[in-house]
Amino acid sequence: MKILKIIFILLNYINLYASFKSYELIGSKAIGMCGAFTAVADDTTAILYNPAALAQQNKNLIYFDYSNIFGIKDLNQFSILSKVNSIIGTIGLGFVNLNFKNYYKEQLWIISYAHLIFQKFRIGINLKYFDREIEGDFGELPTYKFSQKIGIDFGTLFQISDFLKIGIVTFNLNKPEILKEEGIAPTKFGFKLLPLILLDKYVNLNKNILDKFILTSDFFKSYYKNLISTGLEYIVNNYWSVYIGTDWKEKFTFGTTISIESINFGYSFVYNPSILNNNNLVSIELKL
Amino acid sequence: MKVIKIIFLIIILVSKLIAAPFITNTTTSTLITKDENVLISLKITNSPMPSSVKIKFSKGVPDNWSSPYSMNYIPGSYYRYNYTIEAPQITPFLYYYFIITIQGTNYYCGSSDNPFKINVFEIDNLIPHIVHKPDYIDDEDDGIYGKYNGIAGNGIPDEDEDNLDLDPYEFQDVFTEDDTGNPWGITYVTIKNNPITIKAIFEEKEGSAGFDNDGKAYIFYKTPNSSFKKLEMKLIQGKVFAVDIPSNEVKNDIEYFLVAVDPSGLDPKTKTEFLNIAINDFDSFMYSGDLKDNDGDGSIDEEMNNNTDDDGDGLIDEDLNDASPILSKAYGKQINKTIVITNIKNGLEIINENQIDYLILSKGINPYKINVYENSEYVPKFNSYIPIEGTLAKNLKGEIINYSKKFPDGTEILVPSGAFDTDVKIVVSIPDNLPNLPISSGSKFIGFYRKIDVYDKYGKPIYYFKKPLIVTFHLSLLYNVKESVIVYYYNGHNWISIGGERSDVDKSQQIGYGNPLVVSINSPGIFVAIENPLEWQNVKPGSISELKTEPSVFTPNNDGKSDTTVIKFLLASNDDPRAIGDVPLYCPAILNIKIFDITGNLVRNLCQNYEIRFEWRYGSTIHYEWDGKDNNGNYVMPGVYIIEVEVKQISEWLSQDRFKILKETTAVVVVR
Repeated sequence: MKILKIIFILLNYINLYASFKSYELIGSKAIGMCGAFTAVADDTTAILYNPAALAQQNKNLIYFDYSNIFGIKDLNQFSILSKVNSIIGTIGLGFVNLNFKNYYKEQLWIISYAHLIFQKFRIGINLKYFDREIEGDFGELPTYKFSQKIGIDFGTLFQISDFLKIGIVTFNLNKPEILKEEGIAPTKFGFKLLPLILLDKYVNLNKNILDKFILTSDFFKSYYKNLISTGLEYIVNNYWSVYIGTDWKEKFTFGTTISIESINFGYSFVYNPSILNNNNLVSIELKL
Repeated sequence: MKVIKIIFLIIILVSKLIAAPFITNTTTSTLITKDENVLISLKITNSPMPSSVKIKFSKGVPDNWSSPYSMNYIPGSYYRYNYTIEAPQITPFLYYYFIITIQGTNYYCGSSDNPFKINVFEIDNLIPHIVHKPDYIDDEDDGIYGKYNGIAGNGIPDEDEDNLDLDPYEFQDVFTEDDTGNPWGITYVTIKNNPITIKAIFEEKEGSAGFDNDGKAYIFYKTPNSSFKKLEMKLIQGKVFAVDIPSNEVKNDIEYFLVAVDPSGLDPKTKTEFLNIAINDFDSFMYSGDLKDNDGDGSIDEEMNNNTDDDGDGLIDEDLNDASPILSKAYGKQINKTIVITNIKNGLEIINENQIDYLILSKGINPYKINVYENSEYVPKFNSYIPIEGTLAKNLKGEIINYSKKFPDGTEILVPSGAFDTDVKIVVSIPDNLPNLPISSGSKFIGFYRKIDVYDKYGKPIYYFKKPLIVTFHLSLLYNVKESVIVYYYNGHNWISIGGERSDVDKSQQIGYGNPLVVSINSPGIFVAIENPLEWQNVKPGSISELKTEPSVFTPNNDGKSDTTVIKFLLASNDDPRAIGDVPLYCPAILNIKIFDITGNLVRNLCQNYEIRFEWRYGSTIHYEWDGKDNNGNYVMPGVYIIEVEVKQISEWLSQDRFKILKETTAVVVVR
């Protein structure tokens, strides 16, 4: 626990900068749990949410998702992510593309590396290349404008016990100016808990359902607001699981995954009562 | 006790919540003339709106309250706020305290929490003062004020019989002892156009008591479109105070302005010498070496862009480089004198111990090139200036009338007062080429197209009008129109529909008469008439349609370029104003606009409870501007933002779907 405390304190004292917002709209399971995924991150989207968690699955994975963001015409995003186990450790590769009406483009290329430091403690690092391009006739603005930067993320995942995991991830340690936002400390802290096991001490529950519920929460602080997101996963059976989440303010999320042999089909949506349309996302993950 | 306290707090909280409406902000005018009222603006939030607003005031001290009287307040139907209310019973005094009370019919009365104090200066208590009344001008500083006859350089002298034909481009009001009897005064107030600047100089008068340089002078100024503002005057040299009134403060209208100096911070002393300093801004006299007077008539060649042979020598005018610059002829002999120039970037300064009457800055073409002309006759003569085609719209100061002109093709242009700072030449023509027209399947270009150009007296194009010109194009019987047409305007980049709707053509009319398409235009350009335009085909009556942002990418960084974006959409009524169940013409509605980041977090409540109406076709366009800031007033991060427009119909005319809520979303890109 001391190690965790030290890491957490250190990370919070570094001046940090925010990531692309579009990060938060990737991953059917992550979105289904309202982004409370730092300590869970058990699929390929761990590249974006916590690279340390990338090595949790033994298989090589390829993941693809697509969303038409909040139903806005011509505003869409897709991502392709993959995870490969190698001799030197687990390596992740990722590409995210956000497009708006063919004149605005955000692209992100990622290489991740995850390593098991010792039993139950993992670290991971991301090297990211950002590219933002604008092209078109916008009156007084130049017809073409682009900016490119490199960012570095660092994540940790610590298994405290059989029913509790803690994850900490810090985005953009090197402060790429493209993403500069004064006062932001984009360090996410999250935990994953099997709540029924805790209850089991007091109530005699059916042993079969103890590990079917997973509760997770993430904490993220920025200079203008503190964000808390919470998600709950219910594993119906080996082939089907559902998730819900909320940020306790504006958003409610839902997601589900169906596994058919070596393919996971995912779907999630974000419901914000203030916004006309939901954000829908579909994904496919192949286990190789 | 704790429970009682909590209950008490809850009661207070609830009573606060239902104690609506309430005043959140008040502002007042601070300097008035005898003929003016104190204007009080107050923002009333929350609903329902009050039925009356009352004011009481105390003169000098906050304990001698007048009995409240109702202000000229018209209750808003829904969520109006920001009322400006006249308080005619206030007479100028040094300062007043005010309390405003708002009264509802059946609910709690709110009031401004504390009396607020404002200074109400009477202009005559400030010395000296100049009230610029441009229709009476002492243009030769002889103390006789003549009436400006409204036409510059027409050879007809002004009416004070001093035989000067005043140039409307400059006005200098010279303060004299006759006006106030005070030993110091504003010696010059100079107004220049394009851009307008006002410079006031406050200096000692000859033989008068002076003042201590350590003191401060403040200038108050007011234009028709602004309340009084106060600026500290700067000591510029010796014992001369001056101030530049920012051009953006007065750019809308200079027909009337008022300047007063409060010298109370100055300590009068005895005797000082008269310092004669003239400071002028000659921005309006942008001089270009390219402008030629080939025919030696003292004016610029009007046809300079038409490859014509103005002087009949067989060569087109542009071939000649030997002509003297117009200004040297019109203004006198160019001289070389040592001058001290400061603050050249602001383009205003000349300080010279010698008598130099005027300084001409070649700003724009060569910002640092300065030509000095010695000229006792400052007023330029434009007698020879004859518009080739069109009309001479005037810079109207004083008594102003709108000026209209009918062109040979039937096009009529009405120039409102204050549309231009300068004499202009308006040319209506048929353009040689047309850009790609805004037509698609279903819409049709009917063959009517015109080009309107506006030039100043030097032939320099004018791109923006200060007030829109009302243009009436006339479709003749030659045009076979089956569906409705509207006018499109080409701004150099895009075609923009500007109205002028017409649904039929009366073929009994003569060419050039009847069948008018009336539009108002803010800049020159090409105009075409399009039948059944695409824009109308996309209108969905009773709903939000064509929601978009212009520009769709913007840079909110306060650099003056693309700092804001305008959210636009059409809110069209059904064609039948009484159609039950549909949305009738002028159906009122409440507009809310919210901005979200791409993940769905609320960033800005841009517009809350703004009252709008459903209108018909072109008139249904709604605009709302976003400055790229969040609810905390900070600029948002670069990225894509979601804009959601919500319209609540609230018409009592609707038999069904009352309070129906319409929503549409779009997105906009913020970059740095």
